[in-house]
Amino acid sequence: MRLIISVLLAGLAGAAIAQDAQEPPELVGGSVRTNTAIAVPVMPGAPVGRQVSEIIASDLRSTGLFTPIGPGGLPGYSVEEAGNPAYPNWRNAGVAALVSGYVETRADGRMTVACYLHDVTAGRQLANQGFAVSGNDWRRAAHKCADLVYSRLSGQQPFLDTKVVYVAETGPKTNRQKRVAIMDSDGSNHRYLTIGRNTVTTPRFSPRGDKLVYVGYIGRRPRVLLFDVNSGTERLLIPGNHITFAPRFSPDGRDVVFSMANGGNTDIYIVSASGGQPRRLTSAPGADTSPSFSPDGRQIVFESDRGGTQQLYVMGADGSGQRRISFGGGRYASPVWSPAGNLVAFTKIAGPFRIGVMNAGGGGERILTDGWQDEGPSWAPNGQFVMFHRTPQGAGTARLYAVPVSGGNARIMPTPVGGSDPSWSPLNN
Amino acid sequence: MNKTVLIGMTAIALTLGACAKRTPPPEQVPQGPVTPPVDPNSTDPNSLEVVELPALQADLVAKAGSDTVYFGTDEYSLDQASQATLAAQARWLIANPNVRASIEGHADERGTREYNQALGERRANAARDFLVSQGVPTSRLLVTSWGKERPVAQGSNEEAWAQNRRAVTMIIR
Amino acid sequence: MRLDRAEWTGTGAALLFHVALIGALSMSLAQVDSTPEPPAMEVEFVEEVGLTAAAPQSIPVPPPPSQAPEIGQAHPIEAPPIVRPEPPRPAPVARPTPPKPAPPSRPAPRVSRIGDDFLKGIGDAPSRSNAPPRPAAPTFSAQARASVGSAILRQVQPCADRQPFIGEDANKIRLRVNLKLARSGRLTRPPAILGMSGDPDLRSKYGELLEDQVRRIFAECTPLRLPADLYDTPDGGWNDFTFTYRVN
Repeated sequence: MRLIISVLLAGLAGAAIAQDAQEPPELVGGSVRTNTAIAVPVMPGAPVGRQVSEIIASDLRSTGLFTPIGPGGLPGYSVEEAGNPAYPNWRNAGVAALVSGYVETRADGRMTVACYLHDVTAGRQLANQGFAVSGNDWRRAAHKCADLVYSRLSGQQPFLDTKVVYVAETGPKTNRQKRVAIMDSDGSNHRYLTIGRNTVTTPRFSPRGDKLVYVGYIGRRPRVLLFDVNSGTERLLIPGNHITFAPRFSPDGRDVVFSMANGGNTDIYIVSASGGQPRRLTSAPGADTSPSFSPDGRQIVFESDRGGTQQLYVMGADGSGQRRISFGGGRYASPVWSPAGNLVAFTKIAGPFRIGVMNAGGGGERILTDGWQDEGPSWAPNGQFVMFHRTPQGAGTARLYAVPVSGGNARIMPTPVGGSDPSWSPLNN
Repeated sequence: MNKTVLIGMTAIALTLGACAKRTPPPEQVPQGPVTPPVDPNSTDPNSLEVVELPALQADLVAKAGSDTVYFGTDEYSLDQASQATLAAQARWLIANPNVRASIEGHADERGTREYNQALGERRANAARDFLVSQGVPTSRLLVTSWGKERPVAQGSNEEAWAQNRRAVTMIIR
Repeated sequence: MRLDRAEWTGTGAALLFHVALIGALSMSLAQVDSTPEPPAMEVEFVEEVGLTAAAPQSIPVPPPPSQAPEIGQAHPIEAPPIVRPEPPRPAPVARPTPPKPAPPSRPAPRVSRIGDDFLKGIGDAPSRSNAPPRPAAPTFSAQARASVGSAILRQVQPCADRQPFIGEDANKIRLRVNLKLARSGRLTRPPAILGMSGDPDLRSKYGELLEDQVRRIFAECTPLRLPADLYDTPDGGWNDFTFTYRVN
């Protein structure tokens, strides 16, 4: 009798185990690498509503991930419909996503800009956000809306509500006028910060985007200057009468790292952003330049030809532990550490000049561009794009381009004139 | 004296007095630890500005043959021709002791921006050192680098690049 | 060894209780499944209409939200969505039901009298009159379960294939998904994500995007066409289906 009971119990247990061990079947999604079709019809609230929609569509196109439809050619909608669109209509239009919203004047005279992102295929709202803005700040609301859409659909951090500072160039190569210029990263709100009398190069943003360092020629010598974007005032950063260039802020904004050339040798120094005596970080014979901090402020990547040709090196922020990280064939220059921390972008010289990225510890090199002379990379704050300038052979000025780090075509930046040495700001607060 | 003449002479005197003031508005107030005046016409010895002297520059070129020496790609060594030119420049500088020179290094476009600023300084430094070896006092010689910012030839070919890889001796006050 | 009366009684009672328990559980499982679902919650897609938007329903609309945040000051706060009564549009409203415990043990699988290929020709309307003769009470055997599962995934594979690439490392996470289906082959509530596996950083970066994909797949590639007699049997059915999802 006990044997029967045991067998029965064992049978039950066995069946239970068999049931639990059954793995659910697996569905594998395709990874289609085509752009997402996203409709951006004109938002109610003329005339700003249309302009907001146009900015959103243009911003989304610039990410390389979307094919925006509209605003032109799409039906309008009411404020009430912004949060509850007729999904089947949009499915029939062949779009997978929809950006809607509205612009309205508030009682206090400001404007409300509301933004909604919809998954048309699944028929549901994914995200929404609203802003109260005054004056022309609705442009920023539009960029923030585009950032909301981009982030939610890509999983990446935002980057569209940003600025770019660069050197605007006009005139022939032999008599070029160069001015520091600043603009929104979609090319609007463009203005010049220097008047073009002195040659300028390499402007770079501070970590909060409120200051710049750049190189201006004063008294026929390149000098590092500190410029306050809001007040427009500037001052020389380094005491004395030295040849200084290649400045960059530390991630906490407190220091500026730079190069000084003296007696045929160029080394890297660091100085407080509020002024004072610089401290020397490198002393090897050779040209040490283009320093760039890691985002945690602990390391600096730079280029040096101490070994015979330009190569990339990494050291501690105090100058310790200098070691080479570039070992592919060719020469490497102008390294910049990604804000995401894992990659370094650089200019690779192997015949033509191309923009590439490699792991911050070395290795994993990928070349991103294919111009004749692409140089001077700068990262988007989310580490997904690199801006650089491309110089044509022969006459003509350089132009700014942006390329996705994951691979893809470089796209020209909308500057009013030629440009070089771009620097991408952090995300506007 | 005739009143008209008096007024006239006063007017002339005032006008001449005004003309005598050659210096433009006062320098900017320094905003940082060191901000020397940047007025190009300033006679302040601490001014960072540097004043070119075109007439003397032309004289240098005429007497020394050239104010420029040239370099190979990515090089900063002086060949025989360069040394001969610099020797002649040194003689001119010794013969004209009341001026200084800014030795200015340049690079061609086939280098990255910041490396070229360093390379320009190497070239200028090499030329300066040679001038010193020829007897020109160091205190009369400034060194600077223009990197690739001031080419004289705008082609993208070997001929243009060779013209741009240079060190120029600029006669300054 | 001989059992005395007390031991017989005890053993018999225990045995009876076991049998009763098993029976009750087997049947109660089916019972739970057939507890009436909230009515009329099927995800119906409105029939095709033209591109022009439908005329808005004349309902009172509260003024748009006024609590929008400042730019350049604090971080933007949540924009309250436009609050208005839900229009009588079909929309997935039901909350995902909590994950069900795995069905408890049941009798060892019997040999099914349904052929292995019974799911072929699934395109045909599954109707009893067309089907080959089979027993009146089909069982949801392991084989049937596997075949139904394959059929479901096969039918949605075209939609899964259309989902966009989201990142090189997105294939390192997996979602565990549960569906509740109506007899029509449509979902009765949105897919429920039972869990996620893989690197935590990748999960926080991509998990939501994978869920988006699952919801799109099952919004587009339904209704499913599955044999009616396997919808809901004493041993389970395709009314409740769990699978894992990942990207390539």
